[in-house]
Amino acid sequence: MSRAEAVRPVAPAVDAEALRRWGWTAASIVLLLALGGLVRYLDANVATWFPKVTWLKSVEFPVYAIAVGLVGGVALGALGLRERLGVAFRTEFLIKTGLVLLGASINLGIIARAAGPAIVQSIVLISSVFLISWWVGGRFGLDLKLRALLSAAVSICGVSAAIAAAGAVEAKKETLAYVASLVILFALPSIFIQPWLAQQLGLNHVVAGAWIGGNIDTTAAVTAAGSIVGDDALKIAAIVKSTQNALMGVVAVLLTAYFVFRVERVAGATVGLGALWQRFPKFILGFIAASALATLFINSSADQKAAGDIVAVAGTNLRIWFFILAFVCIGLEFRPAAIREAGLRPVAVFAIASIANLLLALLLASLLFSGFRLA
Amino acid sequence: MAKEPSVASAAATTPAPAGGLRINEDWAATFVGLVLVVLVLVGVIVKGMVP
Repeated sequence: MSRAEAVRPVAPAVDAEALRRWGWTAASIVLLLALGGLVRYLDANVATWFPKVTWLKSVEFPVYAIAVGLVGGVALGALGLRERLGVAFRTEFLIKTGLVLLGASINLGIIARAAGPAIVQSIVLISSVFLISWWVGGRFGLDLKLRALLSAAVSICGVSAAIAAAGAVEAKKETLAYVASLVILFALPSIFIQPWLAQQLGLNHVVAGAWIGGNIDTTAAVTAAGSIVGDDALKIAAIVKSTQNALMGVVAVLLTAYFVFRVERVAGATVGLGALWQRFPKFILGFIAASALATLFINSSADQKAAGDIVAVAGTNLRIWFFILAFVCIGLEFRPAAIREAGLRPVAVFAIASIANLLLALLLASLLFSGFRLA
Repeated sequence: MAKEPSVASAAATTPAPAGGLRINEDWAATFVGLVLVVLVLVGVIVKGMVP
């Protein structure tokens, strides 16, 4: 190597790499927004293209969003662009921002009144479904860490809970990736099946929302299914799901303690309560703060109808955009190959626990929310 | 025997991306959501601006 080559600065190469990264990020954001725009267009026009197909009028935006995302995901996979164009596909961030915005459309009084039954439902549901899943996992011979992740995912809030549980029990990354794939595999059909079941069972929107919030694992899928049923169902589903999310920290701490003291028997170990705060889903604070801000704004306005219309820009118009983008991401990120690689036993455990969750959540939602009024 | 990499140990040892700041997704969503709510309430974002 010549002396000139040895001292050549490397900055241009680094700049080119950074530029390329920014380029892919920008392309990813543009693609996501374009797909979101397509969803808006389809939602507004498909029913008018086929006036004789009456059921198309009841197809809500989450259906178009997920379908567009699935098709987009297949196209990106075929073109080999999925990894490079996936930078902006942030389902969790988009759904959580959408939920904070949803908070603005819910009166703080409703959150306060619904908190009681939501907490009772969440505690009974989480502990029962977790223990059922744990027991069934034992009968199927799954190892303890996989059982912990599966049980947390199916009983609390899907991928987020699996991540918290994986940290608590120090599970392998592959185990977490597998459980996350299982969660998506089960969540995707339930987005469509549960609203249909709620309609067949003649549930009112409040009970349907509590059922959806209590049963479906991922927060994104809960909001998609709630949106399909209607706005009232979505509000209750979001409150119930947020309550479950809030209890995730408690379960993570209990799991950490169980593995430290009972499974691994670490001498002199302690489990700090700081882990509770660390695993608390902070966006719930934003959800409550948005509700408080909007409630204060409406209550202190002379014209409460006009104030409500202003709040709806955040609580409805902007929120729907964030939800559309999140649902498109659900479709874009779906990878059936990840499921095929795993065995059938964990799928069976997850399926059994999901059925128990479905039935128990229906019972609790009917008992705790049948007399609940939103107005 | 070497311990297999776990989620907790990986999280503890993985450095932040070079030149980037890792922001917790929950806090980012809370911040963006609340900023949008405030912008709507003070009239910076109005209905006609949201397609």
